[in-house]
Amino acid sequence: MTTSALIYVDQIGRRLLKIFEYTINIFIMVYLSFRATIHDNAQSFRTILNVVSSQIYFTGFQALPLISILALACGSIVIMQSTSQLSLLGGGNLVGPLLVTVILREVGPLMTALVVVARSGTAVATELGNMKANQEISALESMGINPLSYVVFPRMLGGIVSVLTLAFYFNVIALIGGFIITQFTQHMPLSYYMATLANSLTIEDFWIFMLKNTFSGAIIFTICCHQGLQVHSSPHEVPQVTTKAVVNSIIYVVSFNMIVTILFYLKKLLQMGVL
Amino acid sequence: MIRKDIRTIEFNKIGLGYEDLFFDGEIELGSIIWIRGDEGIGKSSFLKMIAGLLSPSAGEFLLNKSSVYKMSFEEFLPYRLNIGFGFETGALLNNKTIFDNLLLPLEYHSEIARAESKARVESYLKWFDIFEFSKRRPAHVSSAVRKITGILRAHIMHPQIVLLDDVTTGLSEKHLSKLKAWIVNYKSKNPKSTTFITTQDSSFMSDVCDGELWLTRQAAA
Repeated sequence: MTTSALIYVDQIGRRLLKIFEYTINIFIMVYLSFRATIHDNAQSFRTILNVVSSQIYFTGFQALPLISILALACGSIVIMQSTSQLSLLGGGNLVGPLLVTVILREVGPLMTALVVVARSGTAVATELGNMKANQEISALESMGINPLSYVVFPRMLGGIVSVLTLAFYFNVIALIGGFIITQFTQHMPLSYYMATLANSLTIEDFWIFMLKNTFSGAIIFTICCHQGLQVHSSPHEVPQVTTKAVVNSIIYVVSFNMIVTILFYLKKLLQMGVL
Repeated sequence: MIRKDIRTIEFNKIGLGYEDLFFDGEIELGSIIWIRGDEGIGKSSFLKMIAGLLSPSAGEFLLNKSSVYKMSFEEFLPYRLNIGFGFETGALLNNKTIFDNLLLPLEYHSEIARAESKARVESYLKWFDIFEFSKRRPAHVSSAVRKITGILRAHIMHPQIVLLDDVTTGLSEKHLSKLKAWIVNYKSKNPKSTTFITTQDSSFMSDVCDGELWLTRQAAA
């Protein structure tokens, strides 16, 4: 092997080690946040609830208009394309399974996660970064308030609840609203549409929905909190950590979604005896 | 959470990461101590180390003969409740009002009733004539009000150790005289309390301090 090839391998190794170290740090932060919350006898349920509810308001409620537009657009496009293409091929009864696969399993979790990263992930990373630069985090510590239980944990919890509810809302709007929009271009009876959807839904779809969206919420808010807390003392670091938070959140969320999808189809193939 | 009385503060060959700055020795409690030294020598870092916000680069910092940096957040908490820190910039939480900033530690640790907490915050703000700003957020008040609020927050839990960083900068004559009276008054009401102050204002400190602690490049005097 030539020296240049070895250098290339060395660089890949270093990069992989960095990714591994970063992932471990994220897990450690999740562990420490849970630990701090459990051990924090002073923090009342009301204090956590206050932060969680405001997080749900900013992340969940305020994102509804944007999610509605995206869901309607995605839903109507997928429904229109699938019905027209499948009708040509004589597979009209496959509309339901296709919609469940595309909207519920793939597009819904991914689009919701991207919206949350863009709207709330950036906000959380900036907020925590500024708190660190303004010594607010040190001030909390000096008052005997653990930032991990007071700042990080409620944001993670609020983020998970918000992503789950937003994803559910996205799916409903995409499938129902999308159907209404398609009525302008083609006719399909609502009863037939609902029946084919209901027949396509399985318990596995519920588990995929829960798994993808719960972990997306956890990933986004843990990474954004982690990046925000990486600011040392200067406000000029805040935009840098925010950019990193967005990039890393997207990479980790997309990777996680892909892994879940691959594992799901591997299981299907195993059940069918192909593998 | 029950507080722990701080009986001794000791420094065992402490290094603060500033070239050759080391400090070694025990500090006599129950007084107002002026931390002195050249610009950039590490006076603020010294205070942050006492508050448990900064780890020394070498040596050990001991409270009641126990090393602080071997303690977890929860183990240090009973001591921490007896330590108040007034930051140079105030370091107030920007999403809370001036009143809520002062109320936060009292409400969080629930040592006293809510009504009593509110009355204490109100009386503190009125003492400094800044009660009119109580409903405003830190971004909407002057830096002097932010600084005073930070100093009041350091005292709000009635701690045994008060650490005040660069306490006089940016304050008017009126506020300086009130602050002087406040520090002396707090000491007389809490005889066991110890206040560490960093400032370059010698006329201010000549009226309040009981002793000086010099930080030098070689060793503390």
